[in-house]
Amino acid sequence: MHVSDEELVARAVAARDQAAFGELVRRHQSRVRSWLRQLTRNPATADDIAQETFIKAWDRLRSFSGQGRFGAWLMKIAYTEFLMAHRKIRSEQRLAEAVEAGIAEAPVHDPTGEQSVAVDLERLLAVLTDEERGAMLLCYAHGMSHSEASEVTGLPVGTVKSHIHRGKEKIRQRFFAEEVGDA
Amino acid sequence: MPDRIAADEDQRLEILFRPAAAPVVDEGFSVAVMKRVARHTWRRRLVLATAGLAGLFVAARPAWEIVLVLGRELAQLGGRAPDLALILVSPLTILAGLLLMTGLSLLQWLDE
Repeated sequence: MHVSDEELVARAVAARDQAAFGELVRRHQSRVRSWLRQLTRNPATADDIAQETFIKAWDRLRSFSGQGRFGAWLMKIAYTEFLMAHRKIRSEQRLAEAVEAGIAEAPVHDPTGEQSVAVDLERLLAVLTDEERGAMLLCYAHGMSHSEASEVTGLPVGTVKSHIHRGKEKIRQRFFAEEVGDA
Repeated sequence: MPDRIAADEDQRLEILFRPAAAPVVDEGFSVAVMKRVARHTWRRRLVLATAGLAGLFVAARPAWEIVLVLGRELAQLGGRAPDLALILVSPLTILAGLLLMTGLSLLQWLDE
């Protein structure tokens, strides 16, 4: 029998049931880790942040009101943890970003016409700011609506839309320039 | 026409971003998290217990003095009220009270 996230949360809160929380970790680890991996572009850092996210979630489980999805609530904690960790490792990342920006500058050669498949995700993400990357990943990779992305990032819906608009503009200019010109 | 172009673009972006949502194999991650949760819970209980004992240790002496004086005062029913007032407003008692309140607030904060 499938037990809902909300029931598991209720069990974990009422009796500090670690087994119930363990099930929630198993259910949501993939989504949280994959998002953080794309945000940090470093699997080890992403997993460290993901662990902190789940520890914080365990501590704050009582504050989950049950309104909205547990997954979105978890992603919100993950995003806050990412921003905190990002400040600490910013200097290290600047160097990596400079290298990646160099890669992203290279034009995409697409003789077969399968440009959408050929464009490497890494290169795509490298041209985006953290905010744009976060919002675009939530909406295009994880299928969230603008309002759900707003809930996760804590930003107003209008700001999320602006980040996505700017991100799309950058991608269009860097990768789809020829096709847009043709259209 | 512009709507169709925008829809095509969104569809293409979804395809491009799809690999970013690829499932991540657990590979012991959940077990590692739950071990940390167990350690974290145990450590918090230890901190709570230590803080409680420390608060008790600091507050024990003045509290005992107050109990003694109150007992005496109640037994004699008057006449020595100034002694009681002296104990109640002594710096040590005030400090103990403050520590007790801080300790309780800290325990509540830690528990939350």
